[in-house]
Amino acid sequence: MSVEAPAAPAIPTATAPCATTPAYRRPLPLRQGHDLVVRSVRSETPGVRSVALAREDGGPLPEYVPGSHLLVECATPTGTRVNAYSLTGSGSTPDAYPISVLHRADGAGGSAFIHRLVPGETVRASLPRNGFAPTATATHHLLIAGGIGVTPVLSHVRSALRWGRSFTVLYAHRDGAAPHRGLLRTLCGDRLEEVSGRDVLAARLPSLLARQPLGTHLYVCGGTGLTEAVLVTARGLGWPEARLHHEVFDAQALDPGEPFTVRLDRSGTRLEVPSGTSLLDALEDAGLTVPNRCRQGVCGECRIAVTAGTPLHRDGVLTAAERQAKDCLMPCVSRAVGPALGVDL
Amino acid sequence: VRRRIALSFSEPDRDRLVDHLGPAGMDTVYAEYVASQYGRHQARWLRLQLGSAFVGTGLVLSGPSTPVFAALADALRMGMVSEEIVLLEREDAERRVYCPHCRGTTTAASSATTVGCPGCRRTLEVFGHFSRGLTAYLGAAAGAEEPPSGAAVGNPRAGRYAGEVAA
Repeated sequence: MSVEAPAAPAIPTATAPCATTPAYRRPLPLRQGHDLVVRSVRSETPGVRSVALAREDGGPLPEYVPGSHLLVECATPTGTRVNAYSLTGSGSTPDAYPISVLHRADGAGGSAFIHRLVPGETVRASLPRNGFAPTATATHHLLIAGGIGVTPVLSHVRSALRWGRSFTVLYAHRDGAAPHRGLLRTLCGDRLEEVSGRDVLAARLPSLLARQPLGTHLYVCGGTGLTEAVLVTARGLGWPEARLHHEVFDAQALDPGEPFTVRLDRSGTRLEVPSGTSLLDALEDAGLTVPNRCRQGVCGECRIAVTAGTPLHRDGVLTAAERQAKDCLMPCVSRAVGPALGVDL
Repeated sequence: VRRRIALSFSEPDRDRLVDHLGPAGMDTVYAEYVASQYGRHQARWLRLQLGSAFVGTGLVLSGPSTPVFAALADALRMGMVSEEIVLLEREDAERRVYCPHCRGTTTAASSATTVGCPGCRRTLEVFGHFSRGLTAYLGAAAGAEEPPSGAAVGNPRAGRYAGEVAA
């Protein structure tokens, strides 16, 4: 197939315009952002809005691997936030980046910003990034989506159809809250199975996961509860970690945690991290700069090395082996087991 | 792992396999071949077993390193991941050597440091690099790194090419 090489969009090297509220401590500018124009907006289901972002001149955009996401700068009442939104296209020769966003009334304002967008507006976004790509050596792909977690799964489905990969989809939703259901039914035909409600899903999972051909890789995207249920069931049935791929979109409200002391090895200073303050916040309050993006344990950008003490991991990035090693943590969400922690800063 | 597929290549290999499996031997599909090679029959049996297995199945391979690694390469091609595979390999009297010059593979005694390539008639020096994909050790033309001994000829092949161009 002849694929037209897409010209890279102009990526200005100047820093992102993030000086909305100078008082805000961490504006989180995108280091490599570029401006995209809202081409179209559409309501999928109540509360879910699809937005297509394109180049101003309508030209081709860089291709992406299915399951990729964009980081989008969102203007919120508390300042600029950078949120990650999954792309729903196949990734081949895109002339727009489609995202679907669920409005969260209790969120920090990012989804409300996306829902307010109208065609013609400019937003600042990263190039597509991926932590949820299909595995090339898999002989079958089992895709499990929960609610709005359908967005990367839709991307996988489109790509799988395009390239002839074997796949099946399990879509768990509450009735009336099933974005892209009609589209998935059309694309997948009898490769789509729908379950409605948590109990039905829990009853279906063991039989589904016990009978997947050897060579299957599992991809699950949904809320924390659904993702955990799927992964726990799979591990119980002997699935190795290498076959399990997950992406969590709703950061579980974390408890404030116990206070602890962090020792900074390079300067020899000690910092108190009170309950309710994240380690990352405490480090920044002390004037340290730790590269970070999502601040909710998803992206892995803020990872720092641990030299002493035992980390209390609460992120969704590290593998079981990396957690066992106790030599690093994500300071945005993770804390310490016990009174003290040493970090290589 | 709920179930296992196991393959061994000789009687001592089977004994090691049984020791390794212990009580897990109860839910293991097992085949034993007295063969020094991972050949047609073993490959057919393994592919049949892997093709009808579900995720949650492990693979145990017991035998000399040459057939064990050949079976491993087959299993990885069928979509298994290394976490699911246990290798009980032992030293092999012979090993496969890959010739990057003619891309042929030849079998030589494990102790041999050089081997003649039947494909291109070069003498290959055998290196410690092992390719899981090719299931072979890397060979390379022996003496290629030594400075030329004769003053007249630099690269022994240079003259031949020059001659070809002249003709």
